[in-house]
Amino acid sequence: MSLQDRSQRAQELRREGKRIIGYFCCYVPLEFLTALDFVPYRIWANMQEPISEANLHFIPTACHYARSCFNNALKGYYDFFDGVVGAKTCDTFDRMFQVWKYVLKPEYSHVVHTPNANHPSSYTFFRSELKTFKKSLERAAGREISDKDLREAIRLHNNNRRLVRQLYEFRKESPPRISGSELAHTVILAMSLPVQESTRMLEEKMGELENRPRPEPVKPRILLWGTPVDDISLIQLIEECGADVVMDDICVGSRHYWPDVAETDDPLDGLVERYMDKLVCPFKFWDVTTTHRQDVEKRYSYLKQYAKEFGADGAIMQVVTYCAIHALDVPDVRDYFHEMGLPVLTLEHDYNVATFSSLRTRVQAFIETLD
Amino acid sequence: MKKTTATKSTETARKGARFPKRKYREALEGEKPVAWGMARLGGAHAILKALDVIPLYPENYATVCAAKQMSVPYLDLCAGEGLSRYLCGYFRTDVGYLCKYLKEGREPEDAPWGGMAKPDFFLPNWRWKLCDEGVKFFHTLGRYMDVPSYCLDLPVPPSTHNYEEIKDYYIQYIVDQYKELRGFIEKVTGRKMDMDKFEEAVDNTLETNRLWYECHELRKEVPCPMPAQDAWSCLPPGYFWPADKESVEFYRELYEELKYRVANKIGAVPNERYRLLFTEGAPYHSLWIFDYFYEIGAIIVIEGAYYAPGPPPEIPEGADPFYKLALRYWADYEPWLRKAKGSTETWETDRFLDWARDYKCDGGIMHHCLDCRTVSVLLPHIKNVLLRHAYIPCYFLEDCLVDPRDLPPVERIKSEMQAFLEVMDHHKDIRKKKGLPVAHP
Amino acid sequence: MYFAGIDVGSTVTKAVIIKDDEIISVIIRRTGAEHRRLTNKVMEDVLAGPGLVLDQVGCIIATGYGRINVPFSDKQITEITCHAKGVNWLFPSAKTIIDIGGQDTKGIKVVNGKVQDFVMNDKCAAGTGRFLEVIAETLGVRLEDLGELSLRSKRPELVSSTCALFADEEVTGLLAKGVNKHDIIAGIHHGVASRICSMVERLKIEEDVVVTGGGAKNIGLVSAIERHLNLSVLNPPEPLITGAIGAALLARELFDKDRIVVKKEERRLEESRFFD
Repeated sequence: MSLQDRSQRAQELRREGKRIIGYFCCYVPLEFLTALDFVPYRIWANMQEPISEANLHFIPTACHYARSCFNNALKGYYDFFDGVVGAKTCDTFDRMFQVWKYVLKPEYSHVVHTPNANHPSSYTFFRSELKTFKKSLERAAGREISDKDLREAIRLHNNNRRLVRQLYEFRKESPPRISGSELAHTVILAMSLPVQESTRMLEEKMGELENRPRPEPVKPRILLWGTPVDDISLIQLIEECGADVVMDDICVGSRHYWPDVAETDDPLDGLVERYMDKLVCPFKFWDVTTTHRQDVEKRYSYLKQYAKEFGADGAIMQVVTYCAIHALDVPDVRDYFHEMGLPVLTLEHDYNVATFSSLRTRVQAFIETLD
Repeated sequence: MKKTTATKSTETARKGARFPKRKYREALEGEKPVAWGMARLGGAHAILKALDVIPLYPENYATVCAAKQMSVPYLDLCAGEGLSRYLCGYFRTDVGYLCKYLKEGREPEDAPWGGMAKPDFFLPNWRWKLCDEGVKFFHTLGRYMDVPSYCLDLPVPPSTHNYEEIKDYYIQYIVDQYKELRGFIEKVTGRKMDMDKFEEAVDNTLETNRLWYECHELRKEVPCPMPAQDAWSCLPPGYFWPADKESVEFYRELYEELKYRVANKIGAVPNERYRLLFTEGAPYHSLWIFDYFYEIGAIIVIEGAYYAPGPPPEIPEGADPFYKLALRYWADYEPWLRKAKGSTETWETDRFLDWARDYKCDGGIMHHCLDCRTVSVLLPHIKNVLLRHAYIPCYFLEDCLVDPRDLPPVERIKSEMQAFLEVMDHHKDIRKKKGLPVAHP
Repeated sequence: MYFAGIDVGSTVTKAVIIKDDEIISVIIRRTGAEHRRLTNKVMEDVLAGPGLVLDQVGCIIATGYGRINVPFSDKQITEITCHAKGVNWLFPSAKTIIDIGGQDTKGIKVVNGKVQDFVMNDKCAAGTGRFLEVIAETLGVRLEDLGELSLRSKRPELVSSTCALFADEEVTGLLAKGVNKHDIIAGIHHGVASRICSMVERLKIEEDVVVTGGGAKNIGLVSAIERHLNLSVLNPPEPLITGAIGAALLARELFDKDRIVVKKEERRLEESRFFD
């Protein structure tokens, strides 16, 4: 299926009577939606079309990614939604949600207030906030979620995440049997389906990959870091310049699929832990208790592991223009990669393929240095 | 040197402007521990006061640099650090200043007010989720000043929530963090909190905020007794050091002066014709442009981001001081939280409609700062809402927080403002026809 | 054996032929939008100098903004890698390159002729040749005279705007006030230099510093950069061709090390299909 048609199945399901809930950001606990048989559908931006209508509501210097998501909505691409759920993570998405409510008046909407800190009190607060979310969804569904439903939903999502991680395993090979763009394509589709169907699709893909021959030749291996990318064009550009994208640290990718929910007696315990501690995004402010250097180590040590396991030769840090949150971590993460001995390229882009020509020179020059 | 400051209208404003300098001096010369935080400090000033810690504010220091025409060299130094040009102008100024400080191994000679005393810890805070970027910048400041931090993560209920259902656990989260913060500071500084001092600091905070609120209430009068230029000069005591006795006295004095003006119908502008709402950050590098407003009889009567506190909260008898402090913080937006959705689906935008109506505004100035995304993101939306629901037009001023190189040429601003007067006249007529209140028919 | 490099920039196309370790032919041609695709003409001319035909060239490398569509090149390499190579050949001591082009300004950090790191300006025109072009037009002087004129300034007038549009308006205002052109140009150079230097500073500038590209021909701008960095920069005899030289050198290197398969029969000496 092409990415352009990614909403096809969701629209079909809606005609069959399912209710579709769009969500922003991986901090929305999808387990609750699945437990009530709502279909969670990740809200996409659009790399192929320029931003038009959204500029009537936002300044042009607001994050291109967030504006592009809203632009899709204004164009009617999300008219099949029965509701939207957001997480209070970055300011721009928070503001966008306000306008979304005002302009599009969704039948159902909710924002999960994710703490930005990790104090002891933050956990207590977040547990209450999850209960509020649960209650709000239950009202919309007209029925309650039992612990059993929730445990089952957790199991389904864990299983789905495990399969995506297994797909990533193929990228450890040199050269990898699945390209970065093909994997991204698969993951993006997986986020547009109900979890059970998404799992079936991933299982098929796994079966196909096991019998696929290894490609030629060996190319420089890239770790891609940064802001959400829900289109394959940027990864394709890197591939065209002569490299393999073997691993990512982005939220339409490993950030979403790496951590599982621990299957605890009280399902809320596992959920609180995953959404507070295990998910990563630079918007979180973990208290610095020792030194800045140790703080960076604490926040980013997983990158060292990724680089080693996936055999990265270089890192590309891409940040969509006006994402201040990621842009602010660039110096620290860049230095961290350098300490590992990895060369780094930093890219700022407008989330629009029409503007990619200026990136090509940078990417190609970078890959030339890896040779 | 270009003139940056604006002519002040009230006597008290001149004193307000001198407040920060005294604090920065005290921190630099004294022995007390220093914290670097963000504007309003998440309402926690009294905790620091009781532990004898002086809070200083990198954002505020950057405005001082801007007013003294010192921003440009610092911004250029920061650019060499690999931080994007669209990031917060305040903090980029601070990074530039810190680069110079570290390079020279001492306070730079040109640093305004002799420099900024170095912190013992950072206290970033999410005040009403107003600025995630500022909070995040403390990670970056850690590259230059390696100190521990406690982040006050103050929650703000989304408009999708049922206020009565969530109120208690939201306020409790604030109380809990205030207490954790006390423990954190005691650990970092080795000091113990003096509870009597704390009670007194909390009472001062409540009183400062009450008086400051009353001052702003007086700005609703026609003619308005105080323009934005003065309000900005008067905010440091309440914004940065409200737990101090001097701050209480400062606003009492200001209140008396404004009351006298109102009683005698003395307007801040000799011939008030247009009342304006301004949002958001002040152009500290070029405040003189507001002198031009005097000439055309325009006055800014209310500012968005700098809006003073909400009405004093109701405090239960014998309440714990930490709880009192949390209620004071909560009170700033409580009137809107209660309304929840209002007429614009979110309480955040509803505030603007209320301000425009209560302060009898004729127009809005949307200060679109290229380097302050947080407050600029929604300006077109606010403009749409004001026009659609209140028939109030807005003028977009494209600029930067601190970098005068991005301010459009003055002649252009003047001619655009001229045209905007006509737009406001037109909408004044519409409001009259619709029976809506108009301050100067 | 002969080797060629062709650098198709946004405003100028440059071609160089080397033999052994010597440059034997150079062509520099201003290329407007329409002429940008006529890279074949530039190649024909650079071959004609020493009386060569295409097949005598062992390997041809295209670089620059228009490198992708040069139908007679054997490989494309970015101008960043090529500049580093060319400058290293001219000045083995160079560690930092500042290349000021028509649309792009770049900083390149070089170690042993290899690129260690680089930065490029964002899409804004501030700090590029284009910015100076706009100002020159407003002042009614030729772009190539800006440098000389600015040296006559006794009291540079600060032009504060970095935005090309706003700066243009500001300059018009200054002219109306009777400020003399020399002082305005000197002020403009100061602003452009500060913008360029703060960008390149991200690489942690190390000496020797070499300035290349069209901007290197502007003596006023170069001295403003020197003042900003507080050091002297090196200036190649012909600053426009370092990229093309580097491309030719890389052609030789790849060929000698057997790292490229040259298919001469696939070279077509025809127009670049730029606008397809």
